Amino acid sequence: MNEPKNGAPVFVKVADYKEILDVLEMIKSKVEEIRATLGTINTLQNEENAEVERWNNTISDIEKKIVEIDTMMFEPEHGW
Amino acid sequence: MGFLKFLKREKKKEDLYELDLPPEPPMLSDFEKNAPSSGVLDNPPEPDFNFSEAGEKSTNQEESTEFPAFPEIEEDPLSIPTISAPAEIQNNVPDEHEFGQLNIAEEEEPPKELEEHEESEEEHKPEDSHLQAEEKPVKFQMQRKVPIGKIIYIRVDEFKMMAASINAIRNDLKISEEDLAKLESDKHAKDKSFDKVKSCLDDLQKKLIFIDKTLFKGE
Repeated sequence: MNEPKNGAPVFVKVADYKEILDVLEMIKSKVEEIRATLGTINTLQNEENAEVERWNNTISDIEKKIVEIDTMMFEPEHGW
Repeated sequence: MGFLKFLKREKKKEDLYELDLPPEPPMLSDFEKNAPSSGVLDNPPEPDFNFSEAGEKSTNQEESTEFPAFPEIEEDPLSIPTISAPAEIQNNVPDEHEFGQLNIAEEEEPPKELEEHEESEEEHKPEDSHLQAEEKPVKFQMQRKVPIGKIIYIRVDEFKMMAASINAIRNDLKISEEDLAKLESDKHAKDKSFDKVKSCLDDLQKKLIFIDKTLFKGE
């Protein structure tokens, strides 16, 4: 690569200009595809987080009920 | 003193009041007499050309739809002289290795055209497109002029910028690949923990069923 001499602009010859343009178009389409896939992953992750949160609440309910049952089983005079 | 006569004539022309009066216009009645009838104007008579040879040929061509036979021209490629560029132009053709060192003032047109085209596209963008650009950071709806059959040149500073951008993209791709590998390992770990939770829940259900059966056996 050469530096500009005497302030004149220096150009680099591009042999396969059209091919480069085609590859650039392909890269653009791939980037758009990746963006769409990331959007899908994001929605799936949100759904997964919501499901995990619901699962957590269910486990908490189960834990509370088990504790109640345990209390009733070890203090029969109060529960029965 | 005869050579001074032309001066006397010019003096007469300059004086407009001494000019001769023009002839009177013709009367309207003369126009009505000489005016053609309306039917003649609607269907003007066709000129009668009496070309004996040409007329005969045209009638013959109308009757026969075949093209007239033309004499065949013998193509002799040797008779056409090859045109070569002048010696000055041939000597000034740059080699592929020397194009970077040349002062290419005339070759500035293709990049200028591209720059002007891109600038004009930016100028003609509507105001709403700016709002859309906030939602989508990169917009790939560009139309380019692709010069066909021309040698393309790119400015060196733009080439450097493009090379730097390509290096940055390469680094980003490496980072993305590493992140993807990490995400895959996280996904495997998550799948394992999901399986573990599922097995725990199955055990819990079995034990609850056992307790239920034991408590409510109904002996």
